[in-house]
Amino acid sequence: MSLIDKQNPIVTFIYLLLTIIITMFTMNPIILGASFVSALLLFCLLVGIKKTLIRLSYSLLFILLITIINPLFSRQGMTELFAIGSLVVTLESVLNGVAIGIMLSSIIVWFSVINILLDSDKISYIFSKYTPKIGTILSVSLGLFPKYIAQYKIIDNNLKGLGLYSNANVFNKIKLKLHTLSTLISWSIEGALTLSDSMSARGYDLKGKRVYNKYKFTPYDILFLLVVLSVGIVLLVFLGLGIGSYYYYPTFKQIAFDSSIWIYFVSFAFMNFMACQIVWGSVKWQYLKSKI
Amino acid sequence: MKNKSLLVVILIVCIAFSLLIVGCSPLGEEIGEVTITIECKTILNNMDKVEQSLVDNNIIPQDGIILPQTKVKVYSNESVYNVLVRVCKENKIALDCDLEPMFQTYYVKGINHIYELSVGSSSGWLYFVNGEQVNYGVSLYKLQGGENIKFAYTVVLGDCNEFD
Repeated sequence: MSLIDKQNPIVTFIYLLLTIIITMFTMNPIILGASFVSALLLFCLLVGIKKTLIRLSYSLLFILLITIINPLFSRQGMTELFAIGSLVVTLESVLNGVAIGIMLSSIIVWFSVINILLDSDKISYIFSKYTPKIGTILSVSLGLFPKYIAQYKIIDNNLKGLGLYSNANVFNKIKLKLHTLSTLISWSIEGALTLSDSMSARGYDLKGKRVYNKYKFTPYDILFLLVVLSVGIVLLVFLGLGIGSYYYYPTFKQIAFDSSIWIYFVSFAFMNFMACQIVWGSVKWQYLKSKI
Repeated sequence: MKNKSLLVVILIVCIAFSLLIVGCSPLGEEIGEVTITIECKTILNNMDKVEQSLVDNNIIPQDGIILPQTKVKVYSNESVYNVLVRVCKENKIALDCDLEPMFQTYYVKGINHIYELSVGSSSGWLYFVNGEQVNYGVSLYKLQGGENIKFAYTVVLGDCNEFD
């Protein structure tokens, strides 16, 4: 059992919740960049460099898409790049699109980190004491997508095995994919009925049901929780007061490197660095394994 | 398959051609002149409510007048919107309008980088023709010639004494 499994899930949950809230409510390019880099770093430590590169390429594609779409809907900004008819494309709206893209894709990466760090057992441990239903809903729904993707592949392979794809043109291929999808949906409805029956038979919807857990608050947990809470309070107060806020329209705000923005940046980076360090402690053995 | 792709090409050419025609639709015959003014004097009394981004970039003019009274030629079948677009293009004033599909008219979001909701939660652009406020969209008001158009920024929507 690795260190990350021993860490208290409540601490991990609070940390991830805070980073996601901070990422969602800021448009400051420095904070967004720090969030994106640290999310990718954590993801890389958890799943390895190859999958991270694939995820990064998807993220870049997503950012490009939003960069193209944003100027179509927003004509604000002072620096005009070019105009097609009544559509004026400005530098501000393009770079605002980049910032929105980075924000959304880093949130997506953060959520995949949540998916890896908090499995259904841990989520039911966090919520079971007070709101067992929310915990059950969360743990079941987080497990659905991987399950559906796996089942989709099985159905698709079945159709391929029947030889339906061999002589199909594009339209027929789309038709077959839709057929796969409808099969998947009916399978999932059937599965949901069975799942809910069996879970209520095991008493998941009863209040006061206790889940076996092996988690304790170790000194390391308490230290990390203290860091997370203090950084979180500082950053949320800053967000509330509008310190480090940033605007793109009508033209960019000058980035002021005063003490407040440094506190913002350094504390956020330190919190994420500490999380990376904990994860690194738990995955280090994989890299130190002898390859002879 | 070849016929299909040919059809697609013809379709694209037709769409492009019709867009070209719509984009370069010629002006009608001249029917007179109108005067147009754009001002934001109401903001000057409410400088504490103005967004920081507008203050930093000195967007709001000192006297509150973005465009002093200007005479513009009007062509047949033109609305206030056409005149506004032409004037803003000639005087290099930034203009941002959205087509509202529900009302089939344009909504003026911002002129000269001053947008709706920039000065408090009930601020935005209003327009007056011959001194009276019009309560429908700019592209629905057809011009006859000789009108006096005024675009004014409101801070408290519905306050009658605001523009005195």
